[in-house]
Amino acid sequence: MVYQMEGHTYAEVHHQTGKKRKMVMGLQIRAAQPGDEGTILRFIRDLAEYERLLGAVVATEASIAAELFGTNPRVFCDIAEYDGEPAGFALWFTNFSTFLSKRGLYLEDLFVRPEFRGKGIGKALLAHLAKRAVALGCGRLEWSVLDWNEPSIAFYKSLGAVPMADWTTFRLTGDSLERLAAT
Amino acid sequence: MSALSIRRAHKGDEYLILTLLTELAAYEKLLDKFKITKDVIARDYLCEPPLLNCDLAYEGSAPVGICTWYWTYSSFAARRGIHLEDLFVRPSFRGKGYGKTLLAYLARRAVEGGGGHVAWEVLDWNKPSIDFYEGLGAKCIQNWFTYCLSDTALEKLAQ
Repeated sequence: MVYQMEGHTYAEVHHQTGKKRKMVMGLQIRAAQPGDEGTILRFIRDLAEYERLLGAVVATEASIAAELFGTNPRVFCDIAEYDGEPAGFALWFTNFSTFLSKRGLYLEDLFVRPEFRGKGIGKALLAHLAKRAVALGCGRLEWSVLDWNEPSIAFYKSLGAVPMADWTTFRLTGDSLERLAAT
Repeated sequence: MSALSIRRAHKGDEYLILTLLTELAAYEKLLDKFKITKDVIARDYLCEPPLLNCDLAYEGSAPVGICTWYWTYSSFAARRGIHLEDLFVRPSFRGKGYGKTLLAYLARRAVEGGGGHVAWEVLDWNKPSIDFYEGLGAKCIQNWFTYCLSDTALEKLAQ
């Protein structure tokens, strides 16, 4: 059975438990919840593979649970589902600009699985985050992109995003961080 | 080593924080973009938990520097990190290693809080600072661009 309610189209499907459950047809974006760790880890690994950075991934389901679903989480995740299937995700946290004197929303990861591309899911996820940013009083929605990733850069520019010119990011990590911390 | 003491900012520090950040904006030639007020500092820096952490550095009883920062998260590394938003040592107190002491303090905060990195941005013309950061072992992030949606482009996408 397929029916409409509050602007969504639902299908009643048989869950593997034998019970009926309703499934949203088309695109739905929802906040991640405990139980989504495996889905999120697969998204992170798929994104890393696309970015040719799979070797850098050390995330586990346990690390995701601890950071996203512990007490007072600072990191958040939204999941896009298409016909009830996990199709993409956005992982984000808020930051702060002293000069704007406002919070910002930093998008750490955005990914849509290849078989779900071309349906506007990436744009819908970004629009969802833009709404969140405005609701939180943020002055910026920002993210980083690899310089060879032309399709993504063209997409971001089409939305009106601009590169942060004139600033270079430095990072202290590993042995250099430990050494400085010990002084 | 320097006689620098560093403490977390608290209520009552609004004017000092505003003064130090104004001096930093003047140094960065960005005073025209400066919008911080004492009310914003009380609301966003000195609330619990703060949206932006703020620490103050003193030489004896003289305030000489400031750093502001927040926690970030790297999903691939599965670790949090510290993003340093502002670091400033007053010009008359430079050359004493205080900038390095402030960065070392943040490195300790990162390590103690389970963090894997401290990151920050620097204006690309600021060669003295870049040389200093590289001397500490910090690496310039290559191959990544940061994109930003703000103002009308952000409002438009939100609708």
